[in-house]
Amino acid sequence: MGERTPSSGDTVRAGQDVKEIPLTIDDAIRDLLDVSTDIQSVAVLDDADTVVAAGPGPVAADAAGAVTLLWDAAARRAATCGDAPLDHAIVPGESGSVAIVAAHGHRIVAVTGLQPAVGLLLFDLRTCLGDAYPVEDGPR
Amino acid sequence: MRSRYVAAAALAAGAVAGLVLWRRRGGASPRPAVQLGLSDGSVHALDAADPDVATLERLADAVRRALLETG
Repeated sequence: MGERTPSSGDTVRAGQDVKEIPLTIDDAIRDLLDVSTDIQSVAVLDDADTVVAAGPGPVAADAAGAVTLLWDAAARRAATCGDAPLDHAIVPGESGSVAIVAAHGHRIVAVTGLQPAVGLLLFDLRTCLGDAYPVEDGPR
Repeated sequence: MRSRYVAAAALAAGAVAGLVLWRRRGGASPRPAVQLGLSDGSVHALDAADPDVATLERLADAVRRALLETG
C-alpha cells in the first residue's frame, strides 16, 4: 500500500481541535465527479442564482435560469406538502435524472444517468457543498 | 411430414417471441417518481398523474440540456 499524502481538504488535528480546511468549489466538484459514477454534469449556484462553478465542462449560458425555474416550481409544489422549505428535488426523465440540493447557502444541481442511487447521490452533492462551504462554528 | 416440422418450428418460434415480449413488458421497471425533500426531513414522492409532474419534467429537461451543452 502506498502512502497517502494529505490533500487540502483533509482534517487537521492540533490537540483536541479538529479543523476542516475548505476546498475550493472547483476542487470539491472534481472530487465529486471522481467518486460518483452516476453524475454526468454538475453546477453550483450561489444565493444570487449565479453559476459559480461547473464540471466537468462549462454549462450553457441559460443554465442558471433553467435551474432557478425548476427549483422555484419544485418549491411551489413542496409548499403544498408541508411548511418546511424545500431541501432537495429529484426529477427522473427518460435519459436520466436531474437532482438539486440546497445547502450551505448554495444550490448544487446534477444531471445523472438512469436510476441513480438516490441516497448516495444526495449525500455526495451535500458533501460537495459542505467541503467547499463549511458551516462556521457558532458560539457554544 | 416436412410440413409438420415446419409448423412445429413456427409454433415454437412464436412461443419464444411471445415469451420475450411478455418478459420485456412485465420486466420493464417503471420510472421512479419525482421526489421532493423538505428541510424537516420529510420526503414526498409525487404520483405520476400529478399535474405538476409534467411541468417539473419539462423544466428538468431544460436543465439537462443546459448542463450537458458544453458550448
